[in-house]
Amino acid sequence: MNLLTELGILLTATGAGVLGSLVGLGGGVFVVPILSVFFGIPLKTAIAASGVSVVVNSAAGASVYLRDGMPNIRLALLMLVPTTVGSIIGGLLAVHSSPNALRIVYSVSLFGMIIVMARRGARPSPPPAERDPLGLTASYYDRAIDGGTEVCYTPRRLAPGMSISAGAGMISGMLGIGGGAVQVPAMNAIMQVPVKAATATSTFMVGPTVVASALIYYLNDLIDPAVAIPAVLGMMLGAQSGARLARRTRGALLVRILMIILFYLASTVFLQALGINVPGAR
Amino acid sequence: MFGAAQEQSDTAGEPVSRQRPAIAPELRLRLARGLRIVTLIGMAFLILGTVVSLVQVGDLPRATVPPSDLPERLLAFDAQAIVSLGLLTILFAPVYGLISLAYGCLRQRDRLYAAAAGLVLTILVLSVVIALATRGA
Repeated sequence: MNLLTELGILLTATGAGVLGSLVGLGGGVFVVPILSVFFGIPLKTAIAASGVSVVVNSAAGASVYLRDGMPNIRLALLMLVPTTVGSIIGGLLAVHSSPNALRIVYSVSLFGMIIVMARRGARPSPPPAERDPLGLTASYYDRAIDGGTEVCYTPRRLAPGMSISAGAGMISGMLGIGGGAVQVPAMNAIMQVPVKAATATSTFMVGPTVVASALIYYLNDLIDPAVAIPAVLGMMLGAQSGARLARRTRGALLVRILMIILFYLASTVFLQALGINVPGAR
Repeated sequence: MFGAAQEQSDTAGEPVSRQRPAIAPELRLRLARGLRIVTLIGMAFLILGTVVSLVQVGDLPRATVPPSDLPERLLAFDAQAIVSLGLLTILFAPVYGLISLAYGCLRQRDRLYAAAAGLVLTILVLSVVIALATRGA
C-alpha cells in the first residue's frame, strides 16, 4: 500500500462519514464495501478499520448528546448487556468466518438496511407510564416542537427490545458497523422511545458495543494502521461535515439516492461472494 | 408530536421516575467531558505516530503492537507502538464511560444501574479473555 492509496482511503472515509451522518447510519455501511470492493483491501481488515472509526464517532457524538441530556443512560446500560454479548459473538464470527461467508452476511444485512430505510418513519410515543419500577422514564428538551418543549416518555416492551439489541450487537461485531440502523427503529417502533432520544441512546451504546469486537480484532492482528488511521480521520471529518450538511439537505431525496448506492454496493459484494467478477471491483 | 409536553426542568434528559432518583446532571456532564478528552488523547497519539512513521520510514505502519510489547517499544519512540497506543486509547473511551457510570451510580446508591454498568464491563473483559484464548485458532 502506498501513500496514494492511504489518501484514497482518507477521502473515501470522509465521503462515507458525510453520507452516513446524513442518513443516520454511520459511515461503516459505506466504507467497508468500498474499501473491500474498490481498494482490494481484505474484508476483515476493512471491518476492523471501520470498527475503530465507529468507536471514535460514537464517543464524539455521545459527548455532544450527553451535554444536551438526550441519551437515556439507564436504558442504554440495560440494553448494553445483551448487545455486548452479541457483539463478542459477532466479533468471533468475523475472525473465524471465511471472507465469502462474511460477504454474504454483509450484503444481506445491507439489503435489510435498505428495507429499513425505505420503511423508516418516526412513530409518536405515548405519555409516560404511571408505573416505572426500573426508573427508565426520561425527558429531554426538543427545540423543534412548538418552539421548544419538554418531551417525557417511558420505554416499553423491554424484553423484545433487548432481544433485537442482541441481534444488532452481533451484526455490529461481525460487520464493524454501529448497529444504529437496527437499534433506532427498534427502540422507536417497539419500545416507543422518541426517535431523537433513540438516536442519542443508540449513539451512546455503539461505543461499548463495538469495543467488545474491536478488542478481538486488535488481539487477532486484524487492525492494519495504514487502513485504520485514514479511515478514523476521514470518518471523523466526514461525520462532522455531514451533521452540518444535514440541516440544509432535503432528507427524502437524499435517502433515496443513498438507498441506490447501498443497493449497488450490496449487490457487488454479493456477486463477489458468488465468485462473479464485477467491472471495476478488485 | 412525541410524548406529553411538560415544563422544562433543570433535569432535562434525566430519568424522572418517582421510584428512583434521577441520574445526576453532573455525572452526565462529567461523562461527556471524559469521553471527549479520552478520544482526543487517542487521536493525538494516532497523529503523532503517523508523523513519526512518515518521517522515519515514509509510510504508515502495517501492524499493531501486542499490548505486552508496548511499554518497551514506546520507550524506544517506535511509531508502530505510538499508533497502537492511540488505537488502544480510543478503544478505552467507552470503557472509561462505563467505569465512570458504575462509580457515579454507586455514589448515588443506584445499585441496579451500577451493577448493569459493572456487568457490561465484565463482558468487555471477557471479550479480551476470549480473544486471547482463541488467538490464532
